[in-house]
Amino acid sequence: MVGIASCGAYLPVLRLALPPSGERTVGNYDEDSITMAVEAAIDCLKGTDRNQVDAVYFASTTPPYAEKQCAALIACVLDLQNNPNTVDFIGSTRSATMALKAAMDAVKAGSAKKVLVVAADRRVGPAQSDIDKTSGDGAAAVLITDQAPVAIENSYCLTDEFTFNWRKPEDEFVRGWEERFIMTEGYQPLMKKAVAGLLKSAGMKTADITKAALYAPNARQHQALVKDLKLDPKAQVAGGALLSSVGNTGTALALMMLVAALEGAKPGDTIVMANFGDGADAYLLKVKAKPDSKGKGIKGFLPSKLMISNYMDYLPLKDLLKAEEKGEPAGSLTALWRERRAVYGCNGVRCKTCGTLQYPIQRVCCQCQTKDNFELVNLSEKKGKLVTFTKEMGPSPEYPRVWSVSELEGGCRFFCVLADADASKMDEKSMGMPVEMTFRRLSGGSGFHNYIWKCRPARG
Amino acid sequence: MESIKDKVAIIGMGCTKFGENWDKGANDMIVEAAYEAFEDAGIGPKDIQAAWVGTNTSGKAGFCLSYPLKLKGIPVTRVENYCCTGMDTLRNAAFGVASGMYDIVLALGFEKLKDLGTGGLVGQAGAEIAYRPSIQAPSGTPGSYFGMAAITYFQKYGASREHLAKIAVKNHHNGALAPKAHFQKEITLDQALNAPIITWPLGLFDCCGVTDGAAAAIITTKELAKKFRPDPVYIKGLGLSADTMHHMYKPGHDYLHWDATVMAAAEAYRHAGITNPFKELDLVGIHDCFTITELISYEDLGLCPRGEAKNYIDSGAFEIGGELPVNTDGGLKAFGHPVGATGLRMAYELYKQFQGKAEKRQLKDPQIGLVQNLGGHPSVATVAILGL
Repeated sequence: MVGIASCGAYLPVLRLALPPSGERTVGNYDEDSITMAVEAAIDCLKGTDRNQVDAVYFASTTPPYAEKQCAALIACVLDLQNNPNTVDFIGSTRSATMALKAAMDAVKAGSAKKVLVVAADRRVGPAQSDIDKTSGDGAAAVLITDQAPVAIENSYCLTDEFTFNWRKPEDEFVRGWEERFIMTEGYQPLMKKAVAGLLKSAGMKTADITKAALYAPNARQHQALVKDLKLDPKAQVAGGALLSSVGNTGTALALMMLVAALEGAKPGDTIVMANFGDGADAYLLKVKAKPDSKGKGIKGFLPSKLMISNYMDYLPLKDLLKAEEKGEPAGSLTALWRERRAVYGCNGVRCKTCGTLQYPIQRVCCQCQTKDNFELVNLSEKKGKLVTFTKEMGPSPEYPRVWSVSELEGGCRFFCVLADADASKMDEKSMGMPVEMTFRRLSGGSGFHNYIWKCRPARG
Repeated sequence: MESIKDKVAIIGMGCTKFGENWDKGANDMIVEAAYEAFEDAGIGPKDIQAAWVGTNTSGKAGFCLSYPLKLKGIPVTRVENYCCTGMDTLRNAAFGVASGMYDIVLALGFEKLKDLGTGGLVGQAGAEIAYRPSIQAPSGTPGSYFGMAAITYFQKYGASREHLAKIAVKNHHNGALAPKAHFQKEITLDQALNAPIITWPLGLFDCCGVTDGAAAAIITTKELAKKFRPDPVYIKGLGLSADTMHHMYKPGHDYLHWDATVMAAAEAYRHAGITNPFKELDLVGIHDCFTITELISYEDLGLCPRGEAKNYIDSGAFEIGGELPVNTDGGLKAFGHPVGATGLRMAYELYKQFQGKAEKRQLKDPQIGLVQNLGGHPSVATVAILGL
């Protein structure tokens, strides 16, 4: 039966207090839904031959491009060389599970064998608004295959024209309608209807559910739904705690809750996942064996964090504080396309004559000068160590900015602004610090997003 | 391979006041530097048979020199080689004469940085500059390229920010004696150590300024030189090295040295027949874009053994009055760094010292000296040896 072969997640390292208690994740200035999707996808595919993935479905309400497919870029960054089919599912927080449904259908129909579904969001509301106070940033991914350890036995989808959050093309911020109305006429009845429909079609009762992973815009609505569904909040709920440790991650939340549920699952468990947005849908999952997930997952990324102590330090990260206008440096789409295996695919080269691993891709070996005798080496999952760094006190969203050189496994060097660095704690003793690769957004020169790989202090 | 030693001579030099020359354009500075050099050589623009002009970003093509000087159609080549631009302009002009093609040529370098409206070098302050895959140029700032060598050097050899501060104090002391310097004020060790951090561990006084300026040289053959003046300055050696990788991508790089300087120095020493530079040279100009660059360059040039720079700094060996004075005019620390002009400005100081015209900075009877420039990430270096 079709189901989940492996799963993964990504939570940004930065956290901001979520009143009255709790925290929420904050994507750094150089993170967006594409970069976070890449992180979660790599986490999900750890140990899998990436070239067997034959479709990538990306779900988000905050795709960095209104026109231009994000899934194609993600597939390129993942260095997938199997000509994958790519689709973006956008416009609704329920896009993630709609992508999941499409993936299941593709595998069932036999048109794809391994479909990567990845959902990511970086939703922004006006400073101090409800959206701002409850939103978290993050991503989750599942790999859908036949004969999977976690079978998706049943689904129930319900489309309903109920508007609760929206954003027009020209809007900077997500808007929301009155919460009381959303709760009583939208979220609660639609989610109940979807779960009830699922259980009825499967011939099951609420008591048969081991864990329920239920999307909710905030912890209060989540608690109310759990109560209404007559679920035991202590025993039968998974992922609800994410609403007060990560925040509402929009499209990514339902899958994140599912990943959290699977991380604690045992063979024989029955998991229900339900999602909301322009209707509601629910899925019945049977755990036959633990999914084959070798990545960090929610449990790896959650404790690895840096607190933002001051709301003023948070504002520039989300561009909520207008800084001095600066012309952004120009980029070249032609050059980017030409060098996509290095810039996006994170490939260096190893000289087949002398064995020297080097980055970026070279034509002539820097060591032995042999011409055109290289093999590509993907560096995105290489571990590294910090060789040297400086802390630059110029104006930048992170202050100070840490410039770094790291040595990756195999001896290759990588130069970058060290992502997510806690500069205040870095000194001579930081030399040799373990680092790992992360995909980030640079400036938007020439009007397009300029993405690049960086190193960051190792997490999880 | 041949040597350039004593084949060509400098018979005239000019140098503008370096500084924030708000009231002077690039063309004004080019005219001032060139005409000082013409006057010094006792010639006029009509005597120039060919010219080389160096600028990093302030102009393009030979036309940026022929236009302000109205050189009447003679060949002019524009040279660019990062921070070595000025010295490589002199180098190419010297080879033009050495080839026998020309008898009298002009080498002029300039940079007009203060028209850009930014505090730093070209590029947006604070912008994380886009990766440009077509030229495989990484992002980064000069402070980051050089600052990354400080912490590694400190750890390996036990030097500290205080040694860097001593270099800054020395160069600002010398600069206070140089009327054409951008900064002509002494600083104290405490001022240097307590100044705001720019690129940790480098502070304000570890960095050079952003400055406008131009400098020029008239070069001729050894046969003609003495017809123009009794004290021409001869070129004894020229070395240029362009590296294979940015240091930050170079597998195994130790961040304790820069290969380009080592290789350019070896070439120049071979030309000049120098085997013990610390003993044989009388003065040295080092590319002190950052104090850590000067410190590491002492060792890359072989002026002291690896790891010993701190002891030489503490002993005052490189001060005026020390065994081998370095940056007697205050270096980039006092003159700033108008990229295309810098190498020629450093040659100007040696030239004046050899001719006994260095005023309050004058050393006793110097005969031979060296100028080193280091540019890029750093990825190119020039070393020139000049003498009587």
